[in-house]
Formats: sequence, structure tokens, C-alpha cells
Amino acid sequence: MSQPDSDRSSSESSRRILSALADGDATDGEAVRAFQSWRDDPDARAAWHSYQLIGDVLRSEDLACEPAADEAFLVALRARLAGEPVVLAPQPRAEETAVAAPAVANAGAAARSRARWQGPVAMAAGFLVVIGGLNIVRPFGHGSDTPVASTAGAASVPLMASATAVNNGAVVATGQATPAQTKAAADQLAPYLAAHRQSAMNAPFQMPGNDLRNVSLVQPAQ
Amino acid sequence: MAQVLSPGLLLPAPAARARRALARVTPARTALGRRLSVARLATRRAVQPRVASVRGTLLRVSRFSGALVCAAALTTGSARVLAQSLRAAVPPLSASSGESAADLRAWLVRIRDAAVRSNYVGTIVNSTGTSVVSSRVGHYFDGRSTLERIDALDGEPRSMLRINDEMRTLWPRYRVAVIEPADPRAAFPALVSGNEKHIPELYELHVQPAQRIAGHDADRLLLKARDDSRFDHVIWADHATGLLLRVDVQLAGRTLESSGFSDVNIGVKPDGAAIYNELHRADGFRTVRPAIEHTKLEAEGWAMQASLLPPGFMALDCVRRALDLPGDAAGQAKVLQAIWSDGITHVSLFIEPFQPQRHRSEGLTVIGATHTLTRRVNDMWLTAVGDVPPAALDQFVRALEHK
Repeated sequence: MSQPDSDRSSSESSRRILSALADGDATDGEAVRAFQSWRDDPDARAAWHSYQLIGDVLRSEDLACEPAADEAFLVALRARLAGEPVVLAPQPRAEETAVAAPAVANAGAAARSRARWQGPVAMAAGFLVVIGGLNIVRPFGHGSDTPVASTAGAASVPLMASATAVNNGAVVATGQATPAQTKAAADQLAPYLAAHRQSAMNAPFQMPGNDLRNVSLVQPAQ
Repeated sequence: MAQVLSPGLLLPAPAARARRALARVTPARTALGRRLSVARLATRRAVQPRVASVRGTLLRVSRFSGALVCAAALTTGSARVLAQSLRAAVPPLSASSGESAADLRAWLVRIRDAAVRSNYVGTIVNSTGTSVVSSRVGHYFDGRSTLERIDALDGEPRSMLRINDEMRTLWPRYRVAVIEPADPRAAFPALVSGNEKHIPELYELHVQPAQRIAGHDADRLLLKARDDSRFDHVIWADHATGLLLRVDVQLAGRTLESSGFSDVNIGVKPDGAAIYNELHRADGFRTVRPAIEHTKLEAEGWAMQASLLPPGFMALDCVRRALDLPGDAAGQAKVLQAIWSDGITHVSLFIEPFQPQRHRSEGLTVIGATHTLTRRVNDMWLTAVGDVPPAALDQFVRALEHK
């Protein structure tokens, strides 16, 4: 089928078949040949596109557009389809640490700032409790000897806390901060977070009940 | 058969149809649609003489050779003209392009409007990567009154009942009702809308392919931060109503925190009884009204060096309030809270006298997207909180000066 007479006549006959195909006049055999040349020969594809463009322009001038625009559109569409992530599962703990740490370093922080992980600490009742991962890294811009404290998954429900500990290997006890210090740090922040969240309700992209996230007031004001 | 199978038919016409469909998708894109049609008009004018000559040629020569002539004419001549006019008039539709400022504002209005006017019942799940917290939300608007009920499904039982501009938080186990003014938006509409003008300067809007969220077809928007002082936000809004279905806060493509409906019923009948019955259940509760006093940073003896602030953040409010302290230091701490907003996210700076027994750990705390920076400055203790990168919090703390 692809017996070459000469390059030129082969190309011409291939164009003729493409043209016939575009008009719906091609026989089955010719169509197969046209598909093959379309697949294998970039020039045939260009010619095919030109024929279609011509047909479009003749049918409706609205369809006249730059061929590169179609290509750009398709390329962009494919890229968007390919790059379409569906983030449903929470990210592993280790990644979150990695996010926080460079940001601190960028701020001109002590580059040695390391997130240290403390075993989950269940909060005593009667306090403001922070649900969620809480990690306190070294203060940046300060060379102070402030103890580094962190809790991972300090939760009001002990079961939840232990699940967090199992789920991420990054949760290890460090000697730097005692559980008491850690708890004190978490307790200290909770009312600030609650006040901040309460004032956040006017933001345009805030889900309802935003001030309930993370921070739960276990005991209301006395 | 050949026509059905023909591979090239996929190229131009469906692309044009898809583009028109895209332009129809949202009201926010009508501006783009208008530009497209203007461009098409220009295109038509540019191509008309060519088409006429093409037609003449076609009549004279065989179809085959005519097609070749046309191809040559279009690719070498008018296609180039077309390309120029299209390039000038139509914003590229590639993934890297941003939408116009007007589009972004249209989306903001649509989403805000839907948040107020929709009637819905659903479950919202917040995930920070280490924790998942969910709450049940019912929101009703009958044309005049806004009723909202939010029940926490995790941790200590509590319900938040909102009736117009008053929010009651009920703690059934403690038999306490905390009453606070709801939604400061109502109190500061001018400030908020003033801020919105600048949002397109701070965030780049990308309309992304639609997705399905909580059982609804949703428009997906990426608000990409134009600098390092804020995070990216990915927003899903119900295609039919504009109701916000999910928000992700991202840094360099990583999701720091995600809040969204796991299921939601939009367009339900307003159910005032659900709120009023719960309210009456709390009849015997002790009532607490936290005192919040509006003031100005300057009036309290403080000032911010504007040049040191992260770009785009405008002062939104400043209040004196008492924070309830837990544990050993039980009691109340009187703090000054100054709030800044860039229109999308906001930062609080708490100022109070340094107390050695209470203010022990300076540093940075991260919970999901919320960062908290604490620092002692002379005899004052500063706490900066916000869904912004730590460097931005640092700028707020450094910009503060005592007058």
C-alpha cells in the first residue's frame, strides 16, 4: 500500500485522499490509507487541519480562527486534565513539617530551626483544648533559648490522639519540652486563636462555623 | 463512515464549541465572551476578502487543487492576520493565565451573595492534615431574616445559633449561653468592600476545570497569591447557586488546610423551628456577654510603620477584649486586638503587658494553615495570628511601635 512511486506523487495522492475523506467521498480503503498518513506524516496532519479550517470558514465565518489557538487550547486542556489533583486525604504529617520549616528559614530565621515532636498529650478537662497538630518551632529572628515545644494531635479524645501517633512516624518524644510546658503552650494560645477566628467571620471565603475549626472551648467563660 | 471516523474533525469545531461553552459557564466569564465576540468580528472583517477570493478559486478549479490553494492562502496570509488580531484581543486560555479583575470581583459578589441568601443544610468537615473536625450547619434566609445553626460534632457539645446579627453559643453540659454580636461584616461593610478593590492586585484568579463536590457540580477557582505574604486559596463554588462548597489553603501546591461540605442540601425550606426550639432549650442557661470595646491602635498609644507591613493588608478593626485564661493562670487577660485584612484572609495582633508566669514560650505555632507567632518586645507580649506565612506575621510584629 505504501509502495513509493516518488516522494512527490505519493504526497500528492495522499493529499487527494485526505481531501476526499474531508468531503466524505473516500472509499473504505482510501480512508484507512488516509488515517495511516495522518498518523505517520506531520505534513498530512497539517494539510488535514487546513482542509477542515477551510471547510469551517466556508460554512461559517465565525469558525475562522488561528490554528495555533486550537492547538494551544487543546494543549492547555490536556495539561489541565492531566494536572487535575483531587486532594481528599489529609497530607502526612512529615510533609506539613516540611512546609513550615522552609518558610521559617526564608524569613531569615535560625536555619537550624527544627520541628520537634512530642508524643500526644491529652489535655486535662476544664481547659481550652487545641484539637489538631500543634508544633512550636524555634522562634525565628531570635537567638533565644526558648524551649521548643510541640504536641502532635493533642486532642480532647484520647483515642483520636493515639490514632494520630500511629499514623505518622514523625511523632517522637524529645527531651526539650516537658509535657507540662507543651500543655502550657497549647493552653496559652487557645484563647487567642478563638478570638482571632471569631473576628474572621467576615472574610469572603470562610466556611460557616469557621471559628469552630481546630479550637474547641471545653469550658465556657466563668 | 469515513466522516465519523475522521480524526481531524476533532480539532477546530469542537474546540470552538468548547470555548463558547466555557464562555457560557459563568456570569463572571461574560466579559471574556464579549471580548471573544469582538475578536471574532475583527476576524470576520479581516478574513472576508480572503474568503471571497477563496470562493472564487473554488468555483474555478477542482476541489482537490482548490483545497491546496486555500490552505496556502489561509496559512500564509489571512491566518497570520487572524493570529495577530486574536492575539491582541483575546486573553490566552492556557492554564497559566489569570482572569481579569472584573471577573474576580464578580465571583466575590456571587459567592458572598449566595452565602447570605441560600437555604442549606449540610455537614462541614475541616481537615488540617493531622485532625478532622466536623460540624452540622443549617442556614436559612427568608428574604429578611438570617437564621443559622451550627452544631459541633466533635469534642465538647456546643451549638451556635445565629439570629440575624446575634450569635449565641450554647454549652449544654455547662448550661452556659455566650451571646456575641454576629458577623462583623454587617458592622463594617464599607471597610470590607474598600478592601475588595485591591484583591486583584494581591491574588491572581484562575478559573479551573469544574469538579464535583459534595454531590454538586462546582466551579473551581484558584486565587494565586502574587507575593510571599499570603497563601494560595482554591475555592469550589456550587455551579448553580454560587454557594461556597470547599476552600483549600495552599502553599506551592500543597494543601495546608481544607474546609468543605461532605454533603449539603441546597435550596431547602427555611426551618426556623430548628433554631428557636434549640434556643428555648437554653432558657435556664447562665448568660455571658463578653465585653468587646472598639478602639483605635493610635488611641491606645501604638502605631504601625506602614512601610514594614506586608503589602495589601489594611487595618480592619481594633478592639479591647478579655480573653478567658485556662489552667493555673485562670482568670481573664485584657488584651488589645488589632485586625488587618487583605480582603481574603486576615491577621490579628494581640498586644498585652508581659507576664513572666504566663508568657513562657516565644516562637511559631502551626495548626493547619493558621500560624501563630509570639514574641516579647520590652515589657509587652505580642501574639500575631493568621492564615499567612510566618514571615508576614514577623513583619506585623516588627512594624508595631510604641508612641
